[in-house]
Amino acid sequence: MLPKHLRSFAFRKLQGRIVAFLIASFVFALFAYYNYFTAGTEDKSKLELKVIQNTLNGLKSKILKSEFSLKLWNDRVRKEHSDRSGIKVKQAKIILDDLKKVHQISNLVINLSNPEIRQDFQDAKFCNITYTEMGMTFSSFTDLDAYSFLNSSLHEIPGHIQVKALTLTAVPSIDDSVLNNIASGRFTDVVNVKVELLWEDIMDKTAANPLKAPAKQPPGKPAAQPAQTKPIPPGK
Amino acid sequence: MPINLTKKTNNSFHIAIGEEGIVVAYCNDGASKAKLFVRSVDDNDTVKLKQLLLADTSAPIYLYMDTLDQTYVQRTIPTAGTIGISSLARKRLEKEIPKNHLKACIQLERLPTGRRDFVYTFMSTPIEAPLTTWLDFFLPYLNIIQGIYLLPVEIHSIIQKLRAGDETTKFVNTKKPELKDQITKLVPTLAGASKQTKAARWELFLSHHKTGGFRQVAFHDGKIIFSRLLNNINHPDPDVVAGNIEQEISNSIEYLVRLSISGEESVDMYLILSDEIQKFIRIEKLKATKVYQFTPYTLARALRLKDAAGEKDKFADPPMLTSFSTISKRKLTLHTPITQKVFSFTKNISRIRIGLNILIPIIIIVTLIIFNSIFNIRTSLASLANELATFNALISNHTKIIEETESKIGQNIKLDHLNEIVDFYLFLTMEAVNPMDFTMKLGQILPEIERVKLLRWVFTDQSLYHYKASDKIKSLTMADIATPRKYSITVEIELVLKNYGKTVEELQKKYQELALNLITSFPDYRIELSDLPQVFGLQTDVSQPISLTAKFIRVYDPELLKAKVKAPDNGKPDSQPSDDTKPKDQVLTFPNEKLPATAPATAPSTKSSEGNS
Repeated sequence: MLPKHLRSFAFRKLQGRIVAFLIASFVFALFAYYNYFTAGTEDKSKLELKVIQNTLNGLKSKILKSEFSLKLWNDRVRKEHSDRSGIKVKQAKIILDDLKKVHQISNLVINLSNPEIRQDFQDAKFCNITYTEMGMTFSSFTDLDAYSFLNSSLHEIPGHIQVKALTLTAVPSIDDSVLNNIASGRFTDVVNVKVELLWEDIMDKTAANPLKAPAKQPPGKPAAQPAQTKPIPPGK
Repeated sequence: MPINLTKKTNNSFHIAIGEEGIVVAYCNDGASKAKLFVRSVDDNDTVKLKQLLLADTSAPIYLYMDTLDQTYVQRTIPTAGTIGISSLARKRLEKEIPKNHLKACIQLERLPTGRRDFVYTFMSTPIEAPLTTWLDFFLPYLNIIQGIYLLPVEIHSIIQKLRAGDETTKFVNTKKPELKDQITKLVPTLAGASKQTKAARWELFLSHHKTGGFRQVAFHDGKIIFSRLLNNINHPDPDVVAGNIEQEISNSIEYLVRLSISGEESVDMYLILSDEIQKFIRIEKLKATKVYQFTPYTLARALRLKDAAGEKDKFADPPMLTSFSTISKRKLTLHTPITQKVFSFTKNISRIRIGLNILIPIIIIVTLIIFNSIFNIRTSLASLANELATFNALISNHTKIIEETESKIGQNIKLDHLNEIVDFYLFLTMEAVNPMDFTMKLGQILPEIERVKLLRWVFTDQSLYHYKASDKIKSLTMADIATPRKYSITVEIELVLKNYGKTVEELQKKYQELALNLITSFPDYRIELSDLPQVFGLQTDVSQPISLTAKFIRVYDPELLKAKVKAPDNGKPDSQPSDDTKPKDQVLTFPNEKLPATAPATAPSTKSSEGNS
């Protein structure tokens, strides 16, 4: 056993240093904890700042976009799309009947597929695009009449129409019988036109009678057949 | 003698323990601060020692055993090699010497002949009074016992110091010439000896000690062979003592010569005796090769020890002990179990102290670094808080702007809804291609053409947009909506060329004019025009209309166009479309005729149609 006085002597020798060590360690631990805490707070604040910066940038771009959208809305879009109920077949029929008379179109036959919703913009929140594939054949006395009728149709039918194919065929030759018919006042059609169109329009998702989107095909199964076209009876 | 007890220095207690008592030298690096002879541990005898110990508790204690009961014997250890010889000697030492002894062994040399055994000196001293008595006395004090040393073993350090050089002699010459004379009368000077001849391998040391008597030690190559304490030759008459010493030395030298392994006979003799005895020593009777004689005082001077001995001092213990205070490494350190424990304990405490002395500043420095980091973070946080406040204010401002914009829309439409409608609107009107544009342009060159028999216009959307549910849908986002579409337009026409001229040359000229007109009018298209008939008969009426076919192809690839504009060819500022877009569209091919200079050699050809009007 060590003499007792040595232990107390050792303690006395180390006392000051141990106390200093404990105090230093305590202060170190305190500061280290506080540093850890403040560093965490700093990280959080930086993250928060980043989020707010992103929000602000989003708002800025939204304002810019909104200004542009509002201008376009007031200039053009409001007029064309105040009613966003999709493809307006009935209205189109009336317009085509009128145009047919104006441009002296005969043998007008129109086929339409059932209107459907486009499936390629799935993250749209408020609107859909509905479309129908439209086929049209008609005849006219001159190619100018045909072009005028087609041009007027493209502009007056509500929505947006993209011509996919146009075939204009003139009669092989202007013979005497044709000339005689013209001379007697019976105009013979010399131009036959066949047009394929894609007719699209915007429709709100909250529209009163929204079109039902076709269900997605499960993998491995054959895709659904294209919608059947149906003829629109020619106007009187 | 004034003693400075307050100042903390390299003070130490060097204590020789003998049968008669102890000699204490309180030293400071070769300077003796106090010399004491303490006969016993009685309070009356130890008053001053206690005062010294209590006054300087940090001064360590070195105990030198100068007792009678010390054994030095030679042992030969047989072994096959040098490896493990120490542990073998150690084991034999443990076996031979009783447990209650301080013991050690020193390797001397190897026998030159025979089995070439190793020769060891085994030394021991019992752990009993007076050692135990004095340990009991010193242990209660705070002064740490650094070790217990055998005085005869440590004496060789004094011989080494004396041999160390001529500094000692210089000192004697300059300071005390009479001392030099005193020495040189009797023996050659140490300096001279060390310079002229090599020191003898045998050394015999004899000194007069207060603690017990005359200590005689024999060394061979600096290693102890034997030691004797001659306590029975004391006599009031110095000449008697001198005679006894002469006799003892002669006996010892004869013994050494007998011991001599390699037959050497030269022996150096060191005598530390009082002046009175020195006078009666007859050197010629000593049979030593060289004799070095010192009084305690001259020894202290030779070793440059301050206040270690007075001129009249008889005993060699004080200067010898003071000399030990200048040695940093001792020959042999021994410990009893209790002193070992105390020594280890204090050593560990010392290590802890050193550790703490290093650790505390490091912690303080790291703490300061962390404090600095905290300060920086706080500053950064304040700055971040300001930025946050600014951004929040901006956000509320922008939100207000958005609300105001929403109020302008009307129809109860939210801004996001409006943006989406406009996005879809832009998508549906983007790159809307109308065949009327083509027909209008074609109409402009109609005077040259009598009639268009057939027009087939086909638009092919090559974009990623797949509107049909049956198509393989690629999921697009609203951000993709602004991506321009890639498409192609193909137009095939059959036309009738009216020839107003009469000759083939005029017809060909008209054909060339038509071709140039088409290129000019349709710069975005690649045009393939059928040829004129190759054979004309002499009776052929070239004024008749001729039927031709033309094919117009336009490929619109906005990404390709954008890439070409971004990377102009050969570093030239180039906004012209590349070969893939415009130039290719402007090519007019004449299948059966010589191609124009700009036409590619691989251009497709068409067959010429016959005139059929």
